[in-house]
Amino acid sequence: MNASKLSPTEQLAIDAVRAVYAGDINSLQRQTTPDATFWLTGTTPLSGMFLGRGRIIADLFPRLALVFPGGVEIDVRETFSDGREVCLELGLSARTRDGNTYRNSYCYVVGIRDGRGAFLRGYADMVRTAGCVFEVADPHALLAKECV
Amino acid sequence: MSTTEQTAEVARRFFQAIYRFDISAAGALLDDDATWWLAGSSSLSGNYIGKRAIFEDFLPRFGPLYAPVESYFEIKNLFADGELACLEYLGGGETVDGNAYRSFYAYVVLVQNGKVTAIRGYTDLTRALAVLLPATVPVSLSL
Repeated sequence: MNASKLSPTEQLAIDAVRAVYAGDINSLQRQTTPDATFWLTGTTPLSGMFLGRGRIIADLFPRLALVFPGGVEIDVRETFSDGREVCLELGLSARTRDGNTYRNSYCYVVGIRDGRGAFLRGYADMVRTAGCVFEVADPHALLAKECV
Repeated sequence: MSTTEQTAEVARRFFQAIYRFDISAAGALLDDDATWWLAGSSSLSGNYIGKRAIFEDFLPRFGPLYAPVESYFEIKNLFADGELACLEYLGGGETVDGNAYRSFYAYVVLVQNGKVTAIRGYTDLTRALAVLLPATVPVSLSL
């Protein structure tokens, strides 16, 4: 991925996703609107809809910090935008709290409003997340768990 | 029609055909050398190279799982830039066991010369494995 080819909108979207996974409150406040939403597919504790920047910070950030104490590395594989929305294909990798190496492929769609991220929607195979991060290997058991 | 508009339209028509199980229509929009990659580590995931592999190896994994009723396909969002389209949708259907299966998908679709040449899909396969393929549990979770 050639960073010099990124449009400002694409860069903003990348920075917003990075801010979430870094648990960076200051950056998130710069990159997103106050009513920004974050949604991640699946039924893991990281999944679900977080309505508003405050909920992202209060509810999601502690969970990410707990399961990925060393942070998350993000590799941007592809990005494109129509100017209002950005599609990001990412590779995420991290060391889990249990010492597992977590790697997964994600697609994020980031909506831009007034020069900031207004929504972030994430798609990935959460079977891998459940098994590696939460050590739940049975999809049936995962579905029985409460969503966020 | 601009390249961007054509890309979005081809992506839309291709997935509509797939969910109608209209192989003829889908095949007409798919390049012979197209690739279809579904993210993940389960038995449903993988990279399929070429139209033949997509239609003979990948898609047949899903067809027998569904009851012969109309499947469900609702586009939630679609936008494109040049040859790349991003499609978000809610898809599924009724399984042969009578279960309703729904899942959110995001697909990145590369369209060149009016044909789909690459498809990259992202979805949570938890429900698919539990509902569509219960016999596959446990799944491989190795990295």
